Amino acid sequence: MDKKLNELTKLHNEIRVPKELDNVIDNAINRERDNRVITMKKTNNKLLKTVSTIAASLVLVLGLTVNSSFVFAQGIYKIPLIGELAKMITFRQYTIENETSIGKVTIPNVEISDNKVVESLINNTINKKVNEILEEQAILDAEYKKAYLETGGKEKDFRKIETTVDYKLHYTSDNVISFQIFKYQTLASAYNENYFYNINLKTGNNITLKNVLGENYVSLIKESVEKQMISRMKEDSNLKYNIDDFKQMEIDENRNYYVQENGDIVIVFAKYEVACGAMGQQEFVVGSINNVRFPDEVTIIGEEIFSADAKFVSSTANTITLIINEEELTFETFDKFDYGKGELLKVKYVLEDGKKLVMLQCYPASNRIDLTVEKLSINEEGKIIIEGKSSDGTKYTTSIDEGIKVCSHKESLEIGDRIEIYYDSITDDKVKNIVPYTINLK
Amino acid sequence: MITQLEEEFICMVKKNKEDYYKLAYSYVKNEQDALDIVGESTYKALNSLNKLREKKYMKTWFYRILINESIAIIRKNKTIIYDTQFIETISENITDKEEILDLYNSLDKLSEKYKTVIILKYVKAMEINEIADILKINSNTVKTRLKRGIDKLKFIMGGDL
Repeated sequence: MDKKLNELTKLHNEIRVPKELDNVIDNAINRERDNRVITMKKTNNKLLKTVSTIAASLVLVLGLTVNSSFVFAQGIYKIPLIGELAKMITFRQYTIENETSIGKVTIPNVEISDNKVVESLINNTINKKVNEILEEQAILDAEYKKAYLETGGKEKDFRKIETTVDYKLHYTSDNVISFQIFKYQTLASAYNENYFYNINLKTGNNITLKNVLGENYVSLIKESVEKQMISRMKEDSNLKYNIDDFKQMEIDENRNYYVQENGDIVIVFAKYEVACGAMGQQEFVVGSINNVRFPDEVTIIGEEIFSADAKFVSSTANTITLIINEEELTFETFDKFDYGKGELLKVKYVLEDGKKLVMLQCYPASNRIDLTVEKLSINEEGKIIIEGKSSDGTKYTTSIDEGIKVCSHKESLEIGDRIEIYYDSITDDKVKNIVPYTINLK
Repeated sequence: MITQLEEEFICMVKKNKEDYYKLAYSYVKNEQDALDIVGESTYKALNSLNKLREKKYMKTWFYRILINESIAIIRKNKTIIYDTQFIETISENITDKEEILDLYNSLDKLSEKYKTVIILKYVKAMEINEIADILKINSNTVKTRLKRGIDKLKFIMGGDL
């Protein structure tokens, strides 16, 4: 009998695979990506609004019909990371177009699988910066177009201004990520800008020159750079540095620098800063990150994560206002939250720089239960069942289903552990009697 | 944005696409439905890849999606539409071709629970523990289902197994 059954494999191998299979798979992948592009479009509403307002004001001036059309997403790519697997940089890429401007944007995204708090801190910073850049540029472009038309330029001759926002990853290790976001324009190179980021991956904090070079970083930089300027001028008589100016220059610990692949710390002087404009941006190696010791202990310096009960007040594209302990507070976020006014929420937030409030997590309170695990068992189907008691004494039996998430700070669950359960719009009744799906204790 | 996980997933699907197609075919026995199942499963999996927390489960997770999708299509169709061309394409190196095919088609008369374990064990030639992982049941349950499934098959085929 087994012999015949085993013959079935042969039959299986005989199944002819149609050529369309490749197409079907590719279509499925593309369909999924198209969906994502639509989601992306939604998150960029904020920018859309700003640019449309400008476009609308132009209509009044010119009496023309202006439709701001946004064309999103040419392609979605990824790049492999230089460092190890635990964190990687991916990016999303899209194109924004309206009557005046074309924006080609590539936003990096940092992933740190074992530290979501730092991950969201870094990504929030990046997203905020990129949005800021684009908004500023949209305003500048609109002004440029207005001036162009007022000085006799014709609408039909106007060529859209192209802005590119992109990034470059310089260095990554266990502790540090160093990258640069830059903006450049076809129209005027004066608008080109660079933003350097050197971030401690364990804490999410910026790493300043003082952090990597020590207390006497100023004298160290001054000496080193001056020497290099002199030797460079000797080698190339066309080079001319304003050494006297440089000596007077104030070196702030937050000055731009990046870390090269080999760990060299490279300090950056913008165009005109230490040399004539024609020489462009100037760079000097002032030390090595390989000599810098980062503490093994993981502490978020100066930033405590707060958990709190909150009442929802309102939310815009980048802020959320809540009442916590009868105090109305506004947090920075990157998402818009659509909760009802007065709805009870559970939130986690940090204080950035001791004053700015940044939101990390936000859930409706009704969709969350805290449990102390009382019993763990495996049912006849091999699924893990968790029984526990909430703080008010209610007993729950639960496991994981789609839309249900069990959070624990440990790798494995034990009796007595405190866990958090989050779920999407499922009544308490169902939580008590869930068909288990998968378990995830991260 | 496409993550490394997505990249790996797409890579896995493309590498094993024939395998997936054949598994789907074993359930529905016709080309069009089998193609739909692979496409739909790929879409759904990509869409919910963020729910997959550990990469090592990606393989079994996708099999599970594929099987669920196959079962869903069968339920929707109510009857199985056999692809008559299939018989002609089977090469002669299978002895007792008719009988094996008869057995293969008899699987469709089993309930999903038994059909799935038999397809995975005998058609796909998987190990018991692999099947257990995919179905999220323990190995003993797999063995029990296999035994009962074969008994039922015997009955269906008139003790002819």
